[in-house]
Amino acid sequence: MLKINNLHATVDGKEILKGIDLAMGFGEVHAIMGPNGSGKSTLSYVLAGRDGYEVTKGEVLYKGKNLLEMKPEERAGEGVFLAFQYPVELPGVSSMNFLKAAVNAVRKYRGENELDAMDFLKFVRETTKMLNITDDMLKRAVNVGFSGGEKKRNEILQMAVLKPILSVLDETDSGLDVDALRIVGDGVTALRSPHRSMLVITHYQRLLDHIIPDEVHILADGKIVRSGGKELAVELEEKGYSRYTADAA
Amino acid sequence: MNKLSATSQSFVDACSISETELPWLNSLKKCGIEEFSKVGLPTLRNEAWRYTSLKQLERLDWQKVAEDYEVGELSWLTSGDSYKLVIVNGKFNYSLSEISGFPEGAFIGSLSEALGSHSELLETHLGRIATSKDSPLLALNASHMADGYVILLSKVQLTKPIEILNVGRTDGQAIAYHPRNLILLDQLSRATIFERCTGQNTGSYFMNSGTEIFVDQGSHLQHHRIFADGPEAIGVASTGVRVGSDANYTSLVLSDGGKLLRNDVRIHLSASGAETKLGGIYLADDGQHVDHTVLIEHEMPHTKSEQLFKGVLSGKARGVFQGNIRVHEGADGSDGQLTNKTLLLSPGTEVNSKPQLEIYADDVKCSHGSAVGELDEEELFYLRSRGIPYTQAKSILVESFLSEVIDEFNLGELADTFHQRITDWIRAD
Ligand SMILES: Nc1ncnc2c1ncn2[C@@H]1O[C@H](COP(=O)(O)OP(=O)(O)OP(=O)(O)O)[C@@H](O)[C@H]1O
Ligand SMILES: [Mg+2]
Repeated sequence: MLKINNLHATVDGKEILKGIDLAMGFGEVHAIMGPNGSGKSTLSYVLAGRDGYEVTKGEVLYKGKNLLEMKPEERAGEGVFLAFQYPVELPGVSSMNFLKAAVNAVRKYRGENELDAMDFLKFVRETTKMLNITDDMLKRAVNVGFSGGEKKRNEILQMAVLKPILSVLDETDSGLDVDALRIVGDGVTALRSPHRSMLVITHYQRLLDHIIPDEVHILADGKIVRSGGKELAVELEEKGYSRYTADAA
Repeated sequence: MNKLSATSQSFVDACSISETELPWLNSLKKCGIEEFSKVGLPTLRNEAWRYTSLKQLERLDWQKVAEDYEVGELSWLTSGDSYKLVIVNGKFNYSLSEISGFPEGAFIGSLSEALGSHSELLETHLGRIATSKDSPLLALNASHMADGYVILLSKVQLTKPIEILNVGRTDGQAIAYHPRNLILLDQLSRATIFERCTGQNTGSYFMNSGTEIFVDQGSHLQHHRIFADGPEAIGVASTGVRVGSDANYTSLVLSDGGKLLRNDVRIHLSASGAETKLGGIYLADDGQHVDHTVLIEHEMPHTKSEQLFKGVLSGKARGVFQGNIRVHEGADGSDGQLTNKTLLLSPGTEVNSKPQLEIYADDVKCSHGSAVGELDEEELFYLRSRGIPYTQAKSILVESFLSEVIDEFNLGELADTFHQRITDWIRAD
């Protein structure tokens, strides 16, 4: 479902991704681990279509289509979702209106009917309950004044209501306490299905206890330097990245 | 003495002061024309007009409003219960207005009627709250003063809002008019006024209005305005407000129409406990020039002013904001806050934001801030990454930027109207 071939990308003229190859099938979960600054978030932005991230070489095929040609909103409509490492605050935009606009935009893109306020409320309530998100949070402006953990849970809420096919979770586990980690883990697990795939960027084994990955990749200095099974994550946690960064250098 | 420009001279020539029975009115008009003849229309050399040129006026031959124009369908913002005033090309129109049931002892009606029925009260205030010395446009307005609306409330708390519709309408001939309006509230009076300027067709008109407001002795006035003049309109709205002891003047202004608009507001906080709260939203598109100029005079101790002006410019629009808080000697303990933010949606726009503090008193709490920026790229991307198309994402961000101003005011049923105007503007952009 996702095929990344020799992807090179620059930001402000600086090459950050230096030839990434990665292939994922439907229903698979892959984890990406790697030292700070290795290009993990850059990869996730390139997949989501952020301006300013220029692809200089390579291609990304998503469900057989050229992903890089699509606008960010088209990618979302096609089922790509990025849970941001640093969720963005939207002062003055209520969380509820934001979610509704997003859900209806995506439904429209997918040829489904848009939900009215009542139906939408019902639809959202089930998910907020599972993720322990209060009505108060929904009334507030998006992410404004949210704690770090609340922001991350809010990302998972968006993911749950948008029902993506490819989810990229960029350090969604960072900054979560044990309970929140379990809630997020459960939320993500509930979304697992044979049609949905996930690319989980993380520094820790602990999220991978909840979401067992099919493959683990190590990204260092803009390249995938090693891939393996879930045991690779355990090994990294014990030994660190030093040998990979040394390799890469 | 400078030689007047042809246009200034034509305004002087157009002024014919017929002697009325009211000597004070005659001298008010004469002072106006004397003052205007000295200076003429302001140029960019005039400090207060550094960023707004009225040169556009020179392209047309402005005529007086001769006839009574037919008006088309009128739309109202307030649903049912309100007093309604209609002023067409500066002339009060009684047949289109609905003022029956106005409280006993209070007055609402035309300037010409009030000059007859409340001559003494008008003599005391007219031309004294906003004087011909304040600006050349006010002087010009005084010299041509013929009609406008007058609202007089003493010990009256209105339970229904007043909606005022200023219609500009011309078919072909470029017209100029100079309405003078007066609002007086004293002794714990209360009123809410929604005032709108609209153009009914695409003709050129120059509206040079002068509005004088005195809110005194614990009275409260909410005066919310929409400037939505026709595409060829040039508007200068000069407003002078005096706020007396423990009184309050609250005003939210939205401007989105006209070719050029100068909204010139000068507020005198003239007794202890006087307060004012001003909000502004300006939306301007290709070819439009919008200027909001506000001067707050803290003349007495313990007076308070708050201003929040936000604008969005697009195309080749030009936006000007000049906000000055002047705290006079002795006005100790005054509190003046001023914020101006402008959002630029395209590279061809131009903005001049000039907030100023002039403080001659002690122990004051004053601050001002100004910011000009573009839409936040990260916020836009966040919205788009959730499937929200670019134009909708943009409109969500613009609306939230401006909503902050609307939310500061208690607009009741009119809040939706303000939001809707913003939505419509973004959609048309
Ligand atoms: N606008 C920019 N200009 C120059 N360099 C940039 C820019 N944005 C990011 N970088 C650099 O790109 C590299 C990769 O950043 P990225 O955010 O992708 O790392 P990461 O792997 O996600 O790190 P972390 O684990 O800390 O989240 C970093 O060295 C960063 O400083
Ligand atoms: Mg990162």
